[in-house]
Formats: sequence, C-alpha cells, structure tokens
Amino acid sequence: MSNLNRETLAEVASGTLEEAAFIFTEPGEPTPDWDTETAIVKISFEGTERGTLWLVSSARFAVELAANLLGLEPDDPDAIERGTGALGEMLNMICGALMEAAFGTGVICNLGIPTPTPLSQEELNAKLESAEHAISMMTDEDHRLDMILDIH
Amino acid sequence: MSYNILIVDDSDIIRSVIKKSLLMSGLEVGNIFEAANGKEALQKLADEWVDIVFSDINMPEMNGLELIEKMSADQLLEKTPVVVISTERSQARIDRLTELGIRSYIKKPFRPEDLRDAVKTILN
Repeated sequence: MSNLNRETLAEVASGTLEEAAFIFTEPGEPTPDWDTETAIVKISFEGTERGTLWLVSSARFAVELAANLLGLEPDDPDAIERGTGALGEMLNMICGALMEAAFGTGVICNLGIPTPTPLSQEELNAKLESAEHAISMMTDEDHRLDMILDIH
Repeated sequence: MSYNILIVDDSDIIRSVIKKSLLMSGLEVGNIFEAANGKEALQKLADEWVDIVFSDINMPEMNGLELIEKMSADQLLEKTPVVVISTERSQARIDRLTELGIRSYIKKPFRPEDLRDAVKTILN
C-alpha cells in the first residue's frame, strides 16, 4: 500500500514550492469555480501505481513563477513567454518528490514529460468537480494553485 | 583556467537557472553550451571541448541514462565528469548511474551552492 493520496500530495507540493521558489502556501479547498485565464500542465508517472498529476494556476502566476526562477521582472517578455514552461518544471519537481514520498526510494519510477494541457473553464471545473484526489493552495501573494491526482 | 560546461536538460527554464547559478558561483566558467536531450549533447561533445557535463535524466529523444551509457562506452568521453541533476529519486537508478561513473547526483530542486560544490569537488 503506497502513500499516494491527497494528504501526501498536499505536503509534498507545499514543501517543493517553498524549496524551489520560496513560494509559501496555505491549504484551501478545491472548488470548481475558476473564472480567470489559466495555465495547466500535466505529467504522467509510473511506480507501483501509475497515474497523471495536474497543476493548475492562473496564467499570471505562471509568468510570475518564470520571472522568479529566472530572476526577471514579471513584465519581462522572456518571463511572459516561459510561464507555462516554468509551471511544467515545477510540476516535474513536485511529481519527483511525490514519487519518493509515496513509494520510497526502492521503487524505480518513470516520469513523463510535463505537457501543457489547455482546458476550457467548463472542462477544468468539471474535472475538479469529479476528481477523487484534488488539492488547492493559496500562496502568500493570493494566487490559487490547484493540483489533481488521477490514479489509473 | 576556466572550464567549459555543457548543460543538458529539456527544460529551457532549468538550463537558464543552472547557467545563471554557475555564472554567479564564483567559479571560473568559460563557455557554457546547452543541449535539450542526449542526442544534442553527444553532438555538442563531438564539436566542442567540454570539461563538465550537467545532465537531467528524464528527457525526450535520448534520455540522460542513455547519454551517460554512450559516454562511458566512448574512449574520448568516458573520463568527462558528469553531474546528474534530476527529479529522479530511486536508489536503484542512482546506483546504476554511479556504476556508470557519474561524479555527483543533485536532486531537483537544487540550491546554487549545490552546483558550485559539485564542480569544486570534481576539479579538486
């Protein structure tokens, strides 16, 4: 029995955001009410269980994350262009840490490549509503981040 | 003496972060080359003199493990130090990389000083 669940995801996501980008978060409740432009990325994984991990943020947060990682101003064109890439890399790091927390280091896990996956607001909200394992976080700058863990 | 470094990662964000960390590390860095996968890295290694390779594992086309296997089987490249920077945490895979001769393993997310310390250890 692995620890691949909502609680582990919440703990790992919060710790990785803090360690990688000094982003501090508080837990929230995932509600299907996104009404702003979003950036969405997903990554597949396979350990003793397999599935897909999703990360959802506002498009604005993704740009600020890229600026943060690259040491740029948030209005820098380079940061604007690389927002989704930064979000994908953050998801990759969270997924790697999740695999260790869920399966330990004795299991060889295979991660996919983080992939931008645009969804309409209706599709995203429907996915959140039906998700078995979803978490929401609020950053200290009031950005909302949602994660969905699909176990296949 | 300055050192030429090759950064291999499919994420251009991570390549930029590694590059920035190295340039700010106080190390004497010469040319920094970039490749988005193992295949591109082998081409760079054929074209340029490289003192240290920083490589991710999980990449499309040719992953880091394949790159390191090919380097360790090549007489000209087998002694080029490789530092792996990856989200990969499984001990069995890290053991395999160590068998292939990698000089250091750094987990993402990393701190800039992790890169500096790895380079210093290798060069000393």
